[in-house]
Amino acid sequence: MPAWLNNPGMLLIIAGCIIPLLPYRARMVVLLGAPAAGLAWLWQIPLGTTTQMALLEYTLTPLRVDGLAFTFGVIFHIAAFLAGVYMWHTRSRLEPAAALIYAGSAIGAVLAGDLITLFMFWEVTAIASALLLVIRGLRDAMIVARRYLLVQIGSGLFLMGGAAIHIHATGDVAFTHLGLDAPGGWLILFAFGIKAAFPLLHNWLQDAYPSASPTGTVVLSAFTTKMAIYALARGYAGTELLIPIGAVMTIFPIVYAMLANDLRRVLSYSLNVQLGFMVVAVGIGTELAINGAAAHAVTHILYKALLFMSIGAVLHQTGHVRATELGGLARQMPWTAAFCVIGAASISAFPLMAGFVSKSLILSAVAEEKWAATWVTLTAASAGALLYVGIKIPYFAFFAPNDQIKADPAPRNMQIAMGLTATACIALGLAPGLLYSILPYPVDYQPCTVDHVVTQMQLLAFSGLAFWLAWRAGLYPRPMRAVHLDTDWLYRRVLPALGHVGERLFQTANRRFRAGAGSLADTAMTRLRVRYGATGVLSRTWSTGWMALWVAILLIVYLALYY
Amino acid sequence: MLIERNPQSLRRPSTPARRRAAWLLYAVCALTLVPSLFIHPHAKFGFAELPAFHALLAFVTGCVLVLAAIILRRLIIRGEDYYEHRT
Repeated sequence: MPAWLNNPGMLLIIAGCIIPLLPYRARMVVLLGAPAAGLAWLWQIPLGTTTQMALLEYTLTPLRVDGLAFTFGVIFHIAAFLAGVYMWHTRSRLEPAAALIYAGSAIGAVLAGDLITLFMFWEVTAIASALLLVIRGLRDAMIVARRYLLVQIGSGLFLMGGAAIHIHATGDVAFTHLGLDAPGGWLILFAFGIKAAFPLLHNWLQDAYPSASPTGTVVLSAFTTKMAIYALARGYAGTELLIPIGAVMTIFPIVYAMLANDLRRVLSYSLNVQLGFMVVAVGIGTELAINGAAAHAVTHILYKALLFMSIGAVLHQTGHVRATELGGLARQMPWTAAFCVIGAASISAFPLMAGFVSKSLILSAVAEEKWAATWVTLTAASAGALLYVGIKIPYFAFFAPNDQIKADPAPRNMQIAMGLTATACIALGLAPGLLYSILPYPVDYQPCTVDHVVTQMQLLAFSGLAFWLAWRAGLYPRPMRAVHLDTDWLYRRVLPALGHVGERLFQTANRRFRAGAGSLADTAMTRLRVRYGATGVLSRTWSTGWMALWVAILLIVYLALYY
Repeated sequence: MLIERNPQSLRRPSTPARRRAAWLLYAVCALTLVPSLFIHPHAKFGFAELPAFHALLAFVTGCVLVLAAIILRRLIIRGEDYYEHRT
C-alpha cells in the first residue's frame, strides 16, 4: 500500500468518495462502518509509529501516531460514528459523503507529521465542511457558505505562506514545536488562530454553524476547531501569548450567548468559550495542561455534539430553533429533553459529568503555574456556563411556557445517537480513568476530591442563584428577534459600504475623465477638420502645374540636403 | 428608563412548582456553604482559601455578566432584517 494511503483518515475519505454511488442500506453500512474500522485501525497502531514518503525533494510523514495525535484521532473517529448514527435517517447522498470526507481529512490532519501534509488536509476540511453548508440548498446557507469558505481558505493560505517560509528557512518540513520565534511562526499561528476562533477572528463560527442542516451542524461542531486546538498544542505549547487570548475567549462570547435568540447560535458562542479553556491550557504548555486541553477537547466534542443533536432534533421536528418560538417541548419530546439536560449539566461541569473531569485538569494546570488572574477568569467563566447555556438551552427549548407548538418525538436514530453520546458523557464523568487512559501523557490526578466537589457545587448553586434573581427582577436579557452586531459587521456592512464608496468614487472619476477626454477629442477633431476636412486647406483641388512645381521644389530641397 | 425590564409575565414564579423550585435552589445554596465551614480547601492561591470564595465569585460573575449583557444589548442590537439582501 502506498504510504499516503496508509492512514485511517484516508480510509474515511475514500469511503466518503464512494458513498454517493451506493444504495441506501449500503450507504448507511459504510457511514457507520468506516469510522468504526478507522478507529480499530488507529487503536492497533503502536504509539511512536511514523511512515514516510518522498515528494519532490521533501520527505513527507503522512502518518505519525503519538500520544497527542492518538487522543484527537480517537475522539474524531467516535464523533464521526455518532454523527453517522444521528444522520442515519437522511436520504441525501451528499451529506454522508461530505461528513465522512470532512472527518477523514480532520483525522488526516491530526495524524500528519509534516507541514505539507497538514496543509493539504487543512484545505480538504475547509472544502468538505463548506459542502455541508451548501448541501442544505437554502439561499441564506449558500451566502453563508461563501463567507465561510473565504475564511477557511484564507486560513489555509496563511498556513501555506507560513509553512513555505518555515521550510525555506530551515529546510525541515516536519511539524513539531514551532513557537513564535520560528521562521513563519506568526503566520502559522494566525492560520491556526482563525480556525480556533480567536477573539476577533471568531465570527465565522457563529455565522456558519447555525446555518447548516440539523445533522450538518453536529458534524461541523466536532472537527475544525478541535483540529486547530490540536495544531496549537503541537506547534505552540507553552506560548504565553495564548494565555491572555484564551482568557478573553472564555469571557466575551458568554455575553453574546446570553443575548442570542437562535439556540444553535447560543451553542456556537458557548463552543467558543470552551475553546478558550483549551487555548489557555495550550498556552500553559505543561504536561498536565496539554493533558487538560486534550481531555477537554474530548469531552467537549461529546457534550457539544449532544447539545447540538438535541437542538437539531427540535429543529428537525418543529422547524423552529429560536428561543422566541420554542418552549414547552419537554412533554412532547421527553427523551430529547432529558439528553439535552445531560448535555447542559456536562457543559456546566456538574460533578460526575464529563465536563467536570476535563475542566478540573485545566484549572489545576493553571493553578500549578500560578497564573492567578487567569485562574479567576476561567473559574468565573465556568460559573457563567450555567447562565448562558446550562439553564438557557434546556429552559427555552423544553420548559418555557408555550402551548403553540406541537411536535412528535425525534426519529429513533436521533434518539439512539443522543443516548450513546449522553452515556459517554456520564461514563467519562463517573470513570475518569477511561478518559485519562487515552491522554497524551500519563495522568496522576483525582478530580473528585471532597473540597473540589464542594467548591464546584458552590459555583453552580450561586451562579444559578444569580440567574434566578436576575430573572425574577426582569433583568436577564430575554430572547428577542433581533440581530446583535459582532465582528461580522465589519465584513458584512463596513467593507461593502467602503466598496460602494470606492465604486462611486471610481464612477465619478471615470465620468469626469471621459468627459474631459471627450472634449479634448472634440477640439482636436475640429482642428483636424479645419485642416483636412472637405473644405480644409489640404483638401483643395490643386492644378497639375502647381503640383509639378511643388514636386520640383521638393526634389531641389532633397538634393540640397543630400549634398 | 435606563434599563428596560422584561414584562411581568416573564418574571414572577407563577406556579407553585416554580415557587418550590426556587426554595429548593435557596436551600441548595445554603447547603453548599455548610461544608466550607469545616473543610479547609487546599487552594494554590491564598485568596481562594477564603470560605465561600467560589460562591462569591460565581454570584458576582453572574451579576456582572447580566449587567454587561444589558448594556451591550443597548449598543449592538439591530432590527431582525439588518443584514437582509446583503451578502
